[in-house]
Amino acid sequence: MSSRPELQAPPEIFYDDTEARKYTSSSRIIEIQAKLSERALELLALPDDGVPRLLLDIGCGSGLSGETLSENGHQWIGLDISESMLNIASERDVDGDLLLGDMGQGLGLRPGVIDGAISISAVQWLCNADKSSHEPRLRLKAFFTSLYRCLARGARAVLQVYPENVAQRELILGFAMRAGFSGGVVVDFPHSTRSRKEYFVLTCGPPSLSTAVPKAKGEDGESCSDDESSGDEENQTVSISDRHRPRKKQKITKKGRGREWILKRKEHMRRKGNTVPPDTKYTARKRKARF
Amino acid sequence: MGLLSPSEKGTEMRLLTHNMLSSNIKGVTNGFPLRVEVEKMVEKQVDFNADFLKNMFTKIEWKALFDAAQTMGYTDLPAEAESSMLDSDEFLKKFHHALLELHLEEGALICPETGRRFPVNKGIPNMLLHEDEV
Repeated sequence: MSSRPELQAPPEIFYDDTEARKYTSSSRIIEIQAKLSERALELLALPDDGVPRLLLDIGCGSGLSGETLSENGHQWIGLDISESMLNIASERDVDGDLLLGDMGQGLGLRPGVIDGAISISAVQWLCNADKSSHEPRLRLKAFFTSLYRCLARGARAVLQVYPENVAQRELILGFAMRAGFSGGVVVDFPHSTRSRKEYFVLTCGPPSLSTAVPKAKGEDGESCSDDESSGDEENQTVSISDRHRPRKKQKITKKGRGREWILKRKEHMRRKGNTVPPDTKYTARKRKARF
Repeated sequence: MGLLSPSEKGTEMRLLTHNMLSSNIKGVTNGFPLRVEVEKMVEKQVDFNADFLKNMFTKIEWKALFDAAQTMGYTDLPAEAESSMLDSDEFLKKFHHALLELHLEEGALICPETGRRFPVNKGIPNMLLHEDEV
């Protein structure tokens, strides 16, 4: 199994001329990118009124995803950090405008002008600290605040991401929330290692009916060869719209001494002959701060 | 300058995008609009869509569009515009031409506050900031 590109080199170096050309001429990759872009566009839930919108394609690469946007009648601006990839997009004569830029430096777009944003397989690159001055947190913050600002009220951003692990997913979502986004994660085909895809569906503005997270794929007859589950947890839509709900902390006290440590101490005290309250289910349970 | 057919290869920056771009340099309070420096521009035919133009009108900073169009050599665009003008086909065609058919291929975009040049090559503006500008 090939390792993640994100672990090999920064994107502008990984996607050099050779890699860019390889990427863009692989029919398998073209097909996958088209599917992902169609799905992202679907999740954008733009009004079905035939009016072309101005969309943003973040990490547009060689224009594979942008083509889907053009095919659906929209105008778009694409941003990418790899000059090689953008040169190929230019060669392929895509309809959108291209910008050479680093999303981690902020998008540099005026407030409220974008009707929707998609990103295919790009945002996880923000989590790498490639250069010593590239603190991922600063970059995630710059990206999400500038994205929130340039989107029109009620507009959505759909980011198809390959997080390395749970921590990375939480990190990305955390910064999205802090920037003001509401929304959730749609996981298509969650039980298939091959087909599993995650989309962060983020809405700009207060939560309302229209920000209800859409249904994920992988149930009701959607075929998925690896899937043998009973169908109970076919789709996972995790809503994260309430950013003020306190997260359940782990059972570790401030000094990192959990239940086990406390039980050991009590046993120790009993052996010494002290009177120690019995161990119950309430032992070592976290109390309120004022307790 | 004749209109090129859509089959001419290569992307360029349109004034639509220029109207959305702001200088992102640290410390800059108002980085919009970027000044346009033209070394090479082309006119390209783009499909006309009145709905799109009407949708975009409220987002466009008209003065920035007007100034950029002038710099690109297009002088027919009115200096001021209001939404009632969207009923006029003639106005829409001029708006369309300025917004979507004037393409910058080589040149630069210049930050209005710092004078920093963002070069435009093969129609692609290089908006990458240096380490000390972030």
